[in-house]
Amino acid sequence: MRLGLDEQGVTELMAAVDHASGLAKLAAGLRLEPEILEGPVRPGLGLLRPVSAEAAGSRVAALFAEIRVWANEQLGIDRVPALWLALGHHPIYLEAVWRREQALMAEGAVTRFQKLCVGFALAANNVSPYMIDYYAAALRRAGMDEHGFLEVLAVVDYFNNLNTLADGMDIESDIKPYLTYD
Amino acid sequence: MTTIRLLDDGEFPEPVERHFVEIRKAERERFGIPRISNIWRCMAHWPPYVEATWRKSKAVRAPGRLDALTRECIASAVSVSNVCRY
Repeated sequence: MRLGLDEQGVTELMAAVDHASGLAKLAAGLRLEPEILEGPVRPGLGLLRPVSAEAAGSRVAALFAEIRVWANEQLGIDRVPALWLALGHHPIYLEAVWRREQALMAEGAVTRFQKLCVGFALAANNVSPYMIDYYAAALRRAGMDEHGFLEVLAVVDYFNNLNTLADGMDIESDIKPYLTYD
Repeated sequence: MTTIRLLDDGEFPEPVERHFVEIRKAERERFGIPRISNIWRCMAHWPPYVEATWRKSKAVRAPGRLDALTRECIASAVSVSNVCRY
């Protein structure tokens, strides 16, 4: 589907999809519990032990400082979210995922708000309580209201309806041939 | 190959044809396709299914907080995530 977006726009959309899908699986694997909208359910990092300041090293400390400023602005919490804290055990990976987050979720041909909607939708679609809470906090911060959240979830629900029918009945797409590279 | 035969133009039951007038117009505007798409031709075997789904489709796309592009982005994202080629 071209969606009236240009090549870069479609690629940006796919980047947000790929990023949000990965994070949902990562948060599930780490057994992280929702921590932002209602505060931490219980202290700790799910599967992993907390990273001690000495063990973390200066590179991780610098990244955590950066993430903390970002979390304050974008999520409204004055701490490093558990997802990023957990990655502190693997500094190169933390830096790569964090830099990717910054690049892929930035305002572009697809707006940051649209990317957050996509992230929230995919968190729901992947049934990731941690990422649902995380993106919902960011969307609240960006002005999303109750009706807006339901609009996003309505699209998730409806397209699960269509996807299930199309796959279940093995229906071939007859829309694609009409979508041209204009 | 579809699991069941999809209905052709002229085979749609009367209550379905009524909705298909609107659906044809919506699909032409949205995707530029001149005919009813396959998923509706499948649902047409059971008119209440078409009616309930079309009503939901309109509710999901009703003007609200999200613009049309944002909605399509989410729809596309969900379909990619479910690995649905349709």
